[in-house]
Amino acid sequence: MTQALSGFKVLDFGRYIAGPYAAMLLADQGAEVTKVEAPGGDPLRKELGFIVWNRSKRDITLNLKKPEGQRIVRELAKQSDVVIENFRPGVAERLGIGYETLSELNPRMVYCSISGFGPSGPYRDLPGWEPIVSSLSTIYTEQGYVTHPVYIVLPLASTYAAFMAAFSVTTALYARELTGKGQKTDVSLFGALLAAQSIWVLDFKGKERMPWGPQGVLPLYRLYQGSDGKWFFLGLGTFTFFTKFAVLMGHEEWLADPLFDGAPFLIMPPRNARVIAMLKETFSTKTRDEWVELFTSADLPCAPVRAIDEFFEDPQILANEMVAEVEQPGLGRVRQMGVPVKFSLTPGRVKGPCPAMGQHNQEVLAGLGYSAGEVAKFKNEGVI
Amino acid sequence: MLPLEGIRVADFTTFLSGAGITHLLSDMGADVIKIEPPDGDPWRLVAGGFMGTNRGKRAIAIDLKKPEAKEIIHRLIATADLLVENARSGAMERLGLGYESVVKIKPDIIYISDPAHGSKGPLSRFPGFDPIIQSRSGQMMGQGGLEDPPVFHKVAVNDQAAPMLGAFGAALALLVRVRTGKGQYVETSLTNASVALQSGVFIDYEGMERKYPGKKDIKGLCATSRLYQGTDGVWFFVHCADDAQWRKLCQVLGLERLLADTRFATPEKRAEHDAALTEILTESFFTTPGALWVPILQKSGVPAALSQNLEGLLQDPHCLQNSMFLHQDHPQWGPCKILGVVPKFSEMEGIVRRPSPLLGEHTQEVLRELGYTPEQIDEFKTNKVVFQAKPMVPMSERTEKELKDLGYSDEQIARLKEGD
Repeated sequence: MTQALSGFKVLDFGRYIAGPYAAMLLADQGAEVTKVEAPGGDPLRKELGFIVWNRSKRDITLNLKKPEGQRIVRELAKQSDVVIENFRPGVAERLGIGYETLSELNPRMVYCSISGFGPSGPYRDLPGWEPIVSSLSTIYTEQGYVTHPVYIVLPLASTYAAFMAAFSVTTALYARELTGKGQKTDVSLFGALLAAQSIWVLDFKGKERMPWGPQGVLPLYRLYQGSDGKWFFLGLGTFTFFTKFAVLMGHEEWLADPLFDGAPFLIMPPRNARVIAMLKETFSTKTRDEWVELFTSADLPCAPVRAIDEFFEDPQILANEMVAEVEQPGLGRVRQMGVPVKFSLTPGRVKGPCPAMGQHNQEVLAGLGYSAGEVAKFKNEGVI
Repeated sequence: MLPLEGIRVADFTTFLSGAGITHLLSDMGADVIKIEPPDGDPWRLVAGGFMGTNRGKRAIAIDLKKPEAKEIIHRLIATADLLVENARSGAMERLGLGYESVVKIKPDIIYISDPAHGSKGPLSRFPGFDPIIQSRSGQMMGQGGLEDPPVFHKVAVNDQAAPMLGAFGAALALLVRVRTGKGQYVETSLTNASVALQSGVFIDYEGMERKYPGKKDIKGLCATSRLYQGTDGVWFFVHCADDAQWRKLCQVLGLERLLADTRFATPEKRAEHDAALTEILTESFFTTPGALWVPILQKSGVPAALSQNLEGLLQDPHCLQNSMFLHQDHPQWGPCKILGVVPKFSEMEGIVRRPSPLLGEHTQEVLRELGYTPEQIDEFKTNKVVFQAKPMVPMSERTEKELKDLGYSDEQIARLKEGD
């Protein structure tokens, strides 16, 4: 065995982000992923991220509304270990690729259905767009701290859903080894985004309700500026770090000062504002890089704020092999995310670029036993 | 059957990210034993945070610096399928619990490591928390943009991503082990997670033009995908995904004239005149309460949703109908409402076996399972090798006043007393 999913076949009906990304994570770990696109193609093809979320896959176009398209997809499903789809609830069934239909053909199949809000409940049929899900999940109001919501630039719901989908699929593949049977797993963008907020999506008497601000409100755990106006994050996440910090700054008296009661995380309003003002003044005496250097050498958690283009050169991500270089037709050499989970015995790898639409029609259909003539006929008839 | 039934996890994690891995494994049915020092996981100080990432687990408290502790831990590891840790790189080695040592105790162990910076590179041994990585990786500047100050994501984005990646790694390694009999070392990190979360923009090639859409108090990416406010102060998100929805939006707002306005004729034109369009739509929406706009837009086929707050979410009909929340009686905090198991399986169910444990709540129970006699356990306790939480009086045996102090309602008390 070279990779964890060597020999596993995945049929990827995913579109946009969550479905394709989940399938890509499986491809990175050795699965043979075949992306199935409707004749119009994945609506995200023009987006920058598309080449990453679809790397290492084979690609076929298939018109599921034609009987031959249905026949081909059923043959592919019979051979697949995993199916991933993220249509709106009910659409996969209408296309003849629902769980009931496909699992009957192949009871060992693990079928992962990703949707905006899950297969039941009042929001089931709401369009599962990233910001619609996010808006209902409270993340915008939490980021804006109740007074006014703030939009979040990263597509967190789709990304977390992709991770959860990959987790659910592999868990079901593991269980299949014991039971011999496949099953359906359901992941919603909404559920995945709530899972990422599990530390405040709860209720009990005595629950802390921290205020919030865009640069943070915990004095020992927030963004500050050096004298040059550049930003850094100071993250004194334990009392030990706070102790070392106070000593380093020559202010051991802080350790007994009631102003710092609750350090590191529970210096509550209105005291937090006083401590923040005090530290802001202190930090205006040296440049950002001087502070970062001083704190780093004292083993205190801190970091400069950087733009993403600087991150490509970060020795940390280079050493941990998080930058992959892929030769992408049309774009040349593209630097992109490496494999985010590393294995000592079965290391993953990026197998290749993102395919063009229908690039592997011939290859995939030949694998099913169709002749070149039949493939040409499918093409003429608009099946592929 | 539970998806990970019979799988035991020796859980050395602290804080959010590592504990999140074992939390997901516990939800899938694994028997997770959290191993804490006598003063506990520092994350315990944040009650909601600890509860939200440690429910379902058992907890033992043990002083790893005591020589007797080593034998206990070895015995525990010998019964475990996975070991999970998120200490700084090097810390587990110093405790004699690095991968190389653990393999000698349990040859097919799956060892999951989730340090902040990854195990290689110049920062591998440095401390790190989620926002340190938000800062380094470009995420804060991505949200704040190039002109405005960086923005701290309130959701610990990397701390929440690494658990999902780590649990994915754990499941993959279990799959490999069941097929080959071999365990292995698996690693993810907050750093890896930060790259994976930015996968759509962590891209670089010659001639690429990078955009920085973030800015202070950003409300959306453009006028037709943005947060708006109604006269009642209620905010909601409107997201037109195509031209048809844009036309419907104009009709709903009585702004058909915009459809004939050359400035807004195509998506490109609308992008060019985004500020003007935003202003028109903002004014137009600020004529009716937001609570009314949402159903009007939804019925007209324009994707829209309320910008919900936490109080609303906890009563959200979709969450309630799907039983997304669980009710627990926490021995320390009383009645709690917490998020249930997220991925759903058709043939199996996830499980949350118990509320988040007290420090050392299961020390005796676990040591007995490992074959120690009550006398040996007492000796460990006397010598301060292990610690057992004081047994809590079962809720059903507490007085009405005690229960009220914990926040129980009259109805809940009645139910408890009836033994329900």
